[in-house]
Amino acid sequence: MIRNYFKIVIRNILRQKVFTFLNISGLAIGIAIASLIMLYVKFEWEYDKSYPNTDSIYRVIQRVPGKPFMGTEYFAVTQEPLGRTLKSEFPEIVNYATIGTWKNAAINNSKNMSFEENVLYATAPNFLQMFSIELMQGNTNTALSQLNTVILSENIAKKLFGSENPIGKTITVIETETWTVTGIYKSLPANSQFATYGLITSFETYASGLKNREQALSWKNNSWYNYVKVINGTNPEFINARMPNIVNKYLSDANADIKARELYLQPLKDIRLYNNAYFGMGENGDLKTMLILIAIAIVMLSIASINYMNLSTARASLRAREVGVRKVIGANKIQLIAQFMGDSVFLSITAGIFAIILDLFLLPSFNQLIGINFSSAALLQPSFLIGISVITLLIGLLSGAYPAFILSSFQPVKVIMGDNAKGKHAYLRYILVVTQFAASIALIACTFIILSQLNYIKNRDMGYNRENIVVVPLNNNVIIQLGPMKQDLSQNPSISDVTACSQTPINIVSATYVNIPGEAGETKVLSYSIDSDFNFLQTFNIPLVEGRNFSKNITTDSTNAVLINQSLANSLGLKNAINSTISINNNKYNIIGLIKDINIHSLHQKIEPLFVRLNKPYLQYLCVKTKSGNLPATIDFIKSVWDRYSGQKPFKYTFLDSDFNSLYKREERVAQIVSYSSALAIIIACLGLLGLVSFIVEQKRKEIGIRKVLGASVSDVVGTLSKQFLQWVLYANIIAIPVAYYLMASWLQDFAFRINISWWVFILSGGMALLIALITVSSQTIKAAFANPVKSIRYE
Amino acid sequence: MIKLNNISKYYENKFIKTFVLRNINLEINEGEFISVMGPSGAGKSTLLYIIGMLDTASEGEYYFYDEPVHKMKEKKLTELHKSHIGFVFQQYHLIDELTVLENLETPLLYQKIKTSERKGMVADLLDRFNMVAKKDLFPNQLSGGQQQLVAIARAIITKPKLILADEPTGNLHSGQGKEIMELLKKLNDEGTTIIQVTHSEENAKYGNKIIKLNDGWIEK
Repeated sequence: MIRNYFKIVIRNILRQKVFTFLNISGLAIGIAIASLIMLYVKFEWEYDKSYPNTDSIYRVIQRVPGKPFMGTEYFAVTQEPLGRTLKSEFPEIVNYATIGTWKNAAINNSKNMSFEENVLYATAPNFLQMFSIELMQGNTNTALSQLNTVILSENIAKKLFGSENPIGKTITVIETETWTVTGIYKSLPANSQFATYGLITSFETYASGLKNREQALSWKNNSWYNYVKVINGTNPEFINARMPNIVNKYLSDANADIKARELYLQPLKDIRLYNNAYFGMGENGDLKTMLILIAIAIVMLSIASINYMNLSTARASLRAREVGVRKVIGANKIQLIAQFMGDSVFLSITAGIFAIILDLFLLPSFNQLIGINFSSAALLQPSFLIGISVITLLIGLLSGAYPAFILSSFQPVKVIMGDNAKGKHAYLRYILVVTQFAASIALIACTFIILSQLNYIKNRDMGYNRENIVVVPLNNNVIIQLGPMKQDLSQNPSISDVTACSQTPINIVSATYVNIPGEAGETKVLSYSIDSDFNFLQTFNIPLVEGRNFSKNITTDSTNAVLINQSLANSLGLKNAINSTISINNNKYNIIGLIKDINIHSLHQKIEPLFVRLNKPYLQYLCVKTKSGNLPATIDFIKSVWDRYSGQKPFKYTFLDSDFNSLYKREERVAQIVSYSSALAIIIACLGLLGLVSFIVEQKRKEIGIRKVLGASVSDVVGTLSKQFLQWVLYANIIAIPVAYYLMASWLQDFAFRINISWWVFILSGGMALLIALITVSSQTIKAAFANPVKSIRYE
Repeated sequence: MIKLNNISKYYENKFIKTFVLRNINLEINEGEFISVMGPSGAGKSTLLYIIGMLDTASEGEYYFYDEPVHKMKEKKLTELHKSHIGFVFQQYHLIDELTVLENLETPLLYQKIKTSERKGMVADLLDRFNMVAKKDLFPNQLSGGQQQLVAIARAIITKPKLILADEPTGNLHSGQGKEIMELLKKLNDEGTTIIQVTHSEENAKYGNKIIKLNDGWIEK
C-alpha cells in the first residue's frame, strides 16, 4: 500500500517538476532562514545560563537616583567591600565573588612573543566555585592562593604555549609583572559573559600592584563587579529591601552621596538581554533586537508555509478525480487521509532536508553578518534538528489536512462527474495569499524605514568633522614627547591638524559634576568631559560661538581655562558664560569660550552638557586630520614619526568615521537581516503567486479559449486574469501599512534623533510588491492569452 | 438481491425541490442483466449510483441482500460496497499515475490481500484479458477500448456479485463497444449480476430486462 502511494508521489513530482520545485524550494528557503535566525536567538537566549547554579547567582547593581549617566541611573559597577559585607550580613547569601576586568592587557609568553588578552581578576576560589569553572589541570582551591599566579583557559593556553604544558611556566604582564601559570580551565561557552576573558588571576595579585590601593578598595571607588550566590529559592526582593540599610552601617556620615544609592540583585541570566545598568562587563544583548528577529523568523516561516499550503492544496484539488476513483474501487476515508497526509509530509520533509543543506551553505555569511562563529556542528545539534523536524512535520500535516479531509469527504459521484468543488475552498487560498503579501510588504516597508534612519544617522551633521581623521592610541612614552611629535607631524603637507584627547567626540563616557562656586544651593550639573591638547577644536571643526580657543601663549590656559558647550551653559543658568568661573571637582576654572552643541553620543541620546579642558596626563588618543588624497602614504608617514617617539611600541590606528559607524553595529545588523529577509520574503511570495497563477490559468484554459473565440483580444484576456491577483496585492497593502507603521514607530522610539516616517515609504513598498506581482502574474497570463484557442477548447 | 421501495432523490434549493428520481420501486435478482435507458437527465446515472452506494437517496428504502442500506453508517457502506460491487464508467477513470498492473492491484490493496495472493490474482486477470504485454504501460498510452478493458478488469478483480456500468461504451467506436458488451455478457453468464446504463438500443439487447426512465419515473 505504502509503495503504491510512494510511486504516486514520485510520479507526481516528476510529472510536475516546476510546480514541485517551486513548492519545495519556497519552504526550504523559509525554514533555512528562520532556523538560522533562531540559532542566533537561542544563542542569545541561553546567555549565561550554562552554569549549574545560574538561577541562584545575582549581580549586585546600584541605582543613583536623579543622576542619570548615559541615559540610565543604574550601574553595574559597585565597591570592592560590598561583596564580602553582603556575605557576612545576609544568611541567605552563601557565596560572593568580587571581580574586576582588564581589557587588552599586554602579555608576553615565555618565548617573549607578545599578545593582547583580556584578564579577569577575581576573589578566588569563590569565583571558580560560584561559576563552576572546571580546572583541567591544577587545584580549584589552591591554584590562585599565591600572589602572581594565573590560570588560563584551554584556548588561551594553546595560543600562548602551543602544545607545551603551561603549568609552572611564566608570563610577563605589561613588561613588569611575572605570573606563574598554576591551572588550566575548560574554556567557557561563547555565550557567557566571561568568555572573552582567557586569563584569571586572583584579586590580590591585581590589588597588590595598584598605586592607590586604599582608595581603589574603599567604599568610594565604584569599579568592581560583585556577584553573589543565594540559597536556592530566595526571593531577591527580600534582600533588595534590606541591602542599603545594612550596608550603610559601614559608611561614615561623610559618605552621604553613597548612602543615597539603592542596591539591587540582578539575576545573572537577565544580564545579557534585560540589562539596563551601564558599565557592564561585556557587550549588551538587546531584547528588542531579539524580538524583531523572532518576529522575522515567524514571518518567514509563515510566508513559506502559506506558500507550501497554497501550492499543495491547489495541486491536490487536481487530484479530486483520483480520490473519487479510489473511493469507488474501495478505499475508505482513513486510507485516503493517510495517503494525502503522507504525500504532503514527504514533500515537507524533503524541504526540511534541503533547508539544512542550505543552512550549511549560508552559515559562513550568516556568521559574518552577526559576528558570532557558529560551527556547522551547531546546525546538526539534536535540538536544532528536532526543531526543524517538528516544523516540517507540522507544515506537512497542516497542508496535507486540506486535501486529506476535504477531498476524502467529497461524494465520489460528484467528483467523478466533474462537478468537483474546485472553486469552493478557494477563498481560503485568497486570504492566505493576501496575508503572505501583507507580510512581504510590511517587511519591505520596514527595510526602507530602517535603512533611511541609518542613512540619516550616518549623514546627520553631528556638529563636528569626522572625515579623514586617523586615531592613534597613545602611551606614556609618547605623551611626554607630544609637543615635538606634533611638530614633526605637522611638517607633512598632507596633515592639516593634530591634537590629542582623552576621548574622541563620537562617544564620550567620562563625566563629572560641575557647579557655579559660591552660589546658594549650588546646582550641580553632571557634565561630560574631554581632556584635550591644543588644536582640539580645529581638528574636529567644532565651531566656537563666543570667546576664544585655548592658546599656547597664555600659560593659565593649561591650568584653569575651560571651554563649555551651550547646553552646559544653559544647565548652569549662565547668561554670559565667557569669563565666568565654574567649579569642577572643587577646582575653579575660567570659561574662555562657548562652543556649539555637538552630539557626543550615538543618536540614541540627546545632546548633553560638555566641557573641554587642557589636561595632559589624561590624553589617550592622538587624532590626526589628513587631507584627502594619498592616505596610505600619510599613514606611513605617521607611523615613521610614531616609531621615532614611541619606544618600539606597535603602531595601531583606526579611522574616526569607522569608529563612529561601529556605534550602530546593532542597528546595522538588524538592517541587514531585515533587508535580506524582505528580499527573500518577496521572492517566496512570488514563487507562491507564480504557482497559483499557473494553476488557475491551467484551470481556465477552456474559459480563455472560449473568450478568444468570442472575440476577446490578448489584452482583454490578460486584463481579466491579472485583475484578480493584483486586487489581492492591494488588499495586502491595507493590512501591511498600519502594522509596519506601528512596528517602526516603536523601533524609532529608541533614537533621540530620528526620521519621520513618510508616506512615500508605503507607496514605494506597495508599488514594488505590485510591480513584482504584476511581472509574475503576466508571465503566465500572457502566455495563456496567446495560446491557440482551438487547442485549448479541443483539449477537453 | 436488490430491493428499492419508493426511492426518491431531490435537491433542495431555496424551497424548490428539484426531483431527479421519484418513487422508484424495483427488484433485481441475482444473475440478471439489466439495461437502464432513457433520455439525458432522466436520472439513470443517479439510480445507478444509489444502487452502487456512491450516492444516497433522499427518501425511501434500499435493501441489499435484505440488509437496510438506507440505515447504514458510512463505514459499513464502504465495506459492503467494496466487497460486492464493481464499477465501470464511460470515462474509464483509471488512475493516470499508475500503470495497468498497479491500477488492477489497487482495489486488492484496499482489501488488504496478501502480496503473493494479490500477485496471482493480477497475473490471472492480465492473462485472461490478454494484457500481459501492456501491464507496465500508463493509461494514456492505451487506446480507449483498452482503457475500458482495464477498467472492467479492475472492476471484477475483487470478484464482485454486482457490476454497475455507466455507459461503458459511450466513448468507444462500435467495434470496441461490441467487444466490451460481449465481455459483460460473458461475465453475466458466469453469474455476475450486471446493471448498465445505456443510450444504445442495440447494447440494451445484451440484457435480459430493460428499465426505461423518464423525468425520474420508471415508465411501465
